[in-house]
Amino acid sequence: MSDATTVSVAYNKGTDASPDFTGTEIALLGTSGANEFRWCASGAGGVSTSSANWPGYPRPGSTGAVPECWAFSTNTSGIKVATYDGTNAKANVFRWHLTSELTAVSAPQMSFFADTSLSTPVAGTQPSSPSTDGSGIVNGHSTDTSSHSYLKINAYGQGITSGGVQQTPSAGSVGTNPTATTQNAAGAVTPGSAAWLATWQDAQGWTDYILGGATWQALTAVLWYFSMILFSGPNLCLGTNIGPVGVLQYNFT
Amino acid sequence: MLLTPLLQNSYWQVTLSTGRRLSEMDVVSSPLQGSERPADWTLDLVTTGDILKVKELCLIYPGWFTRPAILKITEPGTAFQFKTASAMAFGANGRQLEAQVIGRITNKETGACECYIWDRHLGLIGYQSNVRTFGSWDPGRIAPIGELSQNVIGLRL
Repeated sequence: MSDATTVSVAYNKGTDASPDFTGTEIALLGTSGANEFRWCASGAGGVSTSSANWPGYPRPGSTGAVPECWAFSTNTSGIKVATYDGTNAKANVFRWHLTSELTAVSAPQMSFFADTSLSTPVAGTQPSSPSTDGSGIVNGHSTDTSSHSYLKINAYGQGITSGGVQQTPSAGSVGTNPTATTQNAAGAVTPGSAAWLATWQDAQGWTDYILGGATWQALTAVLWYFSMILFSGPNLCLGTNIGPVGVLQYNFT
Repeated sequence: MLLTPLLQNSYWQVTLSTGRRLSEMDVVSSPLQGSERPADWTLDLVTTGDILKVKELCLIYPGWFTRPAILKITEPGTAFQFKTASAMAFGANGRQLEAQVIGRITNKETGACECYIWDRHLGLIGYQSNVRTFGSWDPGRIAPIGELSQNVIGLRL
């Protein structure tokens, strides 16, 4: 089997102009608050706040972006994702990292789901409150988001091209700043080579998602840069753990 | 009939026109590196050219009293295999193998193909698609796969 030994998500702890991803790989495992990404209001987060005590985000009177995202390697050891600010202003925010054992056979796909069952989102349908999964966010609401997902995503180019060239973004803005109702197009959208999507995509399972532009070169480490903005709104369900699950689907020999 | 209840995942096995059998469960030597590693579709079939000698492609999968899914390969360069995985982050963590696909081209001009798929939710299923726009056998949970890289999987169309 030629799968990657390790797949992880890294975040930027530096600046957009001088990104620093060293030591920020969040492994795709862990329980009880370890290896978590958490969102909060400006100034509400803390480096040693446990998952159980993480502050809730008040449901706003009108739609708007959640302004902070934090990464926790253990339940009480976290750091703010320095370049996530709920806007499109910065390019170096997150990246998928797949180690070099992978032999890909097609382009990858990326989106968000309610939970690990990867069931198809039901556009515009909010679950009963309190919710215990990410269905409220990925389903969206007719008034708040035009039934698109509350979570918007963008990706830079192909990651690694089929010829083995790593595509890494320069600092600066990412497409057009999305609003809560933004959708690029129904179905799959694909960034151009070494380019961001001009219009962000809403992440609604495999209903609305990003499709990579190339089959990654075999046996080559992959860094696929992406960004996201989480919106909230007056009609989003309440709940204590409604963060949706980010999924990278990839195909290999 | 096989007893494979302890298998965690499925695996491929080929029979070559030379009579040699190779499976994903085999360990092969890397003389140049002086080491051993699991057999690999691309390294041990595509790169070596043995992919053109495949006359039978099997998929062995977990379960009690299972029967291998078998595809007879009558035309060289028409057999293929791949797997689909999901890496999950943010709201939950994990990485899971969703499915393994074996297939053969039924129309070299159009790319049409027929496959067996062992899917962790659906079990063994038959599926028809096209290697130029490979679809989804479980829409919603599995995104359409898209175009398969013919060089990587060893197709000669």
